[in-house]
This record gives sequence, structure tokens and C-alpha cells, in this order.
Amino acid sequence: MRFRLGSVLSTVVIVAVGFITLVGLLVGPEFGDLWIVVNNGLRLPLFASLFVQVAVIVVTLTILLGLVNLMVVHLTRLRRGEGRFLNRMNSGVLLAVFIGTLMLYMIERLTSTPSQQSVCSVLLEQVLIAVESALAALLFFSLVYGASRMLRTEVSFSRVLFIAMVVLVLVAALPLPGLGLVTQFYDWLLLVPINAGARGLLIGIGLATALTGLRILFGQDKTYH
Amino acid sequence: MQRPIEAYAAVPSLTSASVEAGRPIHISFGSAAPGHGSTPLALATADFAYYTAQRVTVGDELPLLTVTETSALPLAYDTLRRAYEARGPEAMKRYNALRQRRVGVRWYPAGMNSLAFASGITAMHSEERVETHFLLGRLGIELALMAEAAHRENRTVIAGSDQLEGQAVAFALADHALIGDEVFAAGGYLGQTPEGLRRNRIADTLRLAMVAVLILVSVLSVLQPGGA
Repeated sequence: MRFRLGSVLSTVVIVAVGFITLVGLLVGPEFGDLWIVVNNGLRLPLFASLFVQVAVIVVTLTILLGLVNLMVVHLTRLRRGEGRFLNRMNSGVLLAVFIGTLMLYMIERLTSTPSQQSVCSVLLEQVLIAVESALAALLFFSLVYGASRMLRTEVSFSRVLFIAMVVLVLVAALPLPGLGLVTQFYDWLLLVPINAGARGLLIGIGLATALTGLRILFGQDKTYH
Repeated sequence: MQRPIEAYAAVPSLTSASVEAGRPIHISFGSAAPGHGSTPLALATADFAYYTAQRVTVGDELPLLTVTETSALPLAYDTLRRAYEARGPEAMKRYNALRQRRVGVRWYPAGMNSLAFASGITAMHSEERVETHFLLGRLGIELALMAEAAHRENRTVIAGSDQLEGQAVAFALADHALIGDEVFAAGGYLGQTPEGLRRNRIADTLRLAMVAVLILVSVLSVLQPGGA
């Protein structure tokens, strides 16, 4: 059986760091003698806290990586002149807006007083949030389109049931008189089968998440090999 | 013997179609990322990306991996590199050549349920002439925008999420949906690795045990004096 040194080393480091962090965060004063060994003897909580801090710093630094990635994607497209003119223009506008906003922010930091409303916050509130709100409104149409498309491609029991539930939810939400029975049925559906189904799905995901976590801790995951 | 999952069964034919058409496949991590609560999900999505990308390493297009959390960028880069590396030195040479032409891993801002991410992916559909979309990881209702844009271009979508909203949208809008914990099972279904198969067997057994315990607890609570 052949082992690669780098692979073994990374597995050992990950398993060791994982266990130290887990034990350091998990074991508290309620564990009695074990807590004394872990805290005073091995000082694992200190190491665990250090590892968590390092992780937070690394995650924060990756924001810079994201910005560089965004720039490289669009610069590559502009440099190679690939794709339609509209796509290249898209990339050009994105880069210009990015550089413009960055410069504006730096100028503002140097010149503005605390009482002044920043142009960057106006850009965020009046442009970005407004555009995202418009997109959120579009979501409704996407969902209606999706529901209509479902039965066009294939008619199955589960698809018909899904559409029936969507219609029922919409009807029950109507402020009309004489819908008492429908509303009661909707309330029961929400409380019993839908609640049970949602919990079932979440339990399944929870189990799978725990299983994946254990595989990482025991060095079974190949991602870092 | 694993239970059949339609979405995984469709992957080989979809990746072959991508190679034949000379168009890239797109795999999204959504907002799943290491260093967050979604770390195991990010690794499961990376598993899916690894085995799916391996199938298109003979093609002329680099697979596109998109993330919305920056901490998922190194994971995505590494997954893509490992997928080519696993196919030998020739594939690695092709990977280095393709990398000069196009950036395979992309970050779109930012965070959970990001509509900016959804609109970025929507624009990417046509810009990059994507053949098939695998929209996985952590996605919410914004998945509807991405799936709808893909259908406008007559492209196939396989979608899955650990969020209930995302799963509902995937069921309604995707051609094949990965429901519940199915997104975690890629190693067994796509890679057919002994570890992956074992992991899926354990997950199925645990799920059955959990169902049995829930039924037992319900029956006991009804039977005990003063129960429901």
C-alpha cells in the first residue's frame, strides 16, 4: 500500500486540529476531573480558541481573494476579446463601476465628516437594494412559470399533488367569506403533514451532515488528501 | 445496492452531451462554504463537483464552478484541479491550457439567498453557452431565477439544497431534483468508491433506525397512561 507524505501529513494535521478544537470547545467545568486535565493540563480550550481565531482570519482574508477573482474573470474576458460585444461591455462596465466605487469610498474616508451622508451608502441603499427588491418581485413570476411548466413536461401524482397544494395555499390566503372549511383544512395540513415532512427532511439532512463531519474528523474524507 | 436516484443517473449522459457539444457544465456551490455552518455541505458539493468534472476532463471546455461565499473559492479551485489531476498528466496539461483561456472558478457576491448571485448566474447562462447546470449547495428561493433562466435557454438543470425553500423550488423547476440528504451521496453514486458506497449504506441504515425510533416513541407516548 503506497502513501503520499503530503496526503498523510495533511490528514494528520486536520484530524489533530479537529479533535483539539472539538474537545476544547465541548468539555466544560461540568465534566469534573476531565475538565481539569483538559483545561489545566493540556490547555486545549486555549488552543481551540486560537484555531477558531485563525479560521476567522483566514475566512476574512478570502474576501480579498473573491475580489481578485471577480476582477480576473472580467479582465480575462476583456483582454482576450472573447464573446459577444454586449458581454465584453458588461465586463467593462462592471470593472469601471468597481474601480469608481472603490475610489469614491477612499476619497470619502479621507474627506467627509461623520455627520455627512456617505455617497457609498446612498449607492447601496438607492441602487443595490432597489435592484435586489426588483429581482425579488421577479421571483414570484419565476415560481408561477415553474408551476405551469411542471405539468407540461410530465404529469405524475407527486406533481399534481404539488400544484394542488400551491392552489390550496393561495385559496386559503384569500380574504373571502365562506372559506372556513378550506382554511381549517389548510391549518391542519400545515400543522400535521407539512410540518412532519419538513422535520423528516431536516432530520435526514442533519444525519448526513453529522456523518460527513465524522468522516472529516476520522480522516475518511478525500477532499484534503 | 443503492436505491436509484434519477438526478445521479442523469449525470453521465449530461456530461457526455456537454463534451460532444463543446460547451461547459456549470456546478454551483450556492452559499455553502468551509468555515461556516455549511462546511459538511460544501464538502459534499465538492465531492459532486469532483466526480462530475472528471467526466468532462476530455472535453475542450473547462467546467465552471460558482460560489457566493469567498471561503469556498479555495475549495472549488482545488476540487477542479484534483478532478483533472485524477485523470493523469495529459488531462493536467489540458487543464493548464484551458485555464489560460477561461477562469473556471467564479465568485459572485455575496452571502446567503443572494439575488446578486442569482442575477450573475443568470447572465452567465448565455455568456458562457453553458450546456447543463448543477445547482447545489445552499440555495434558497433565488434558485427559481437561475432555473428559469436555464429553461429559457433550453438547458437541463439538476438542483438540490439543504434549505427547504430551495428544495421546493428545485422540485418545481429543476429537471431532476436532489431532495433531502441526497446531495451528500455523490461519492457513492458518481464515484462508486468503496468509502462512498459504505457512507450511503450507513446513512440509509441510520435513517431507517431514526424512523423506527420515532415510530416507537410515538406508539409508547400514545400507550402510556394519560398519553395523546
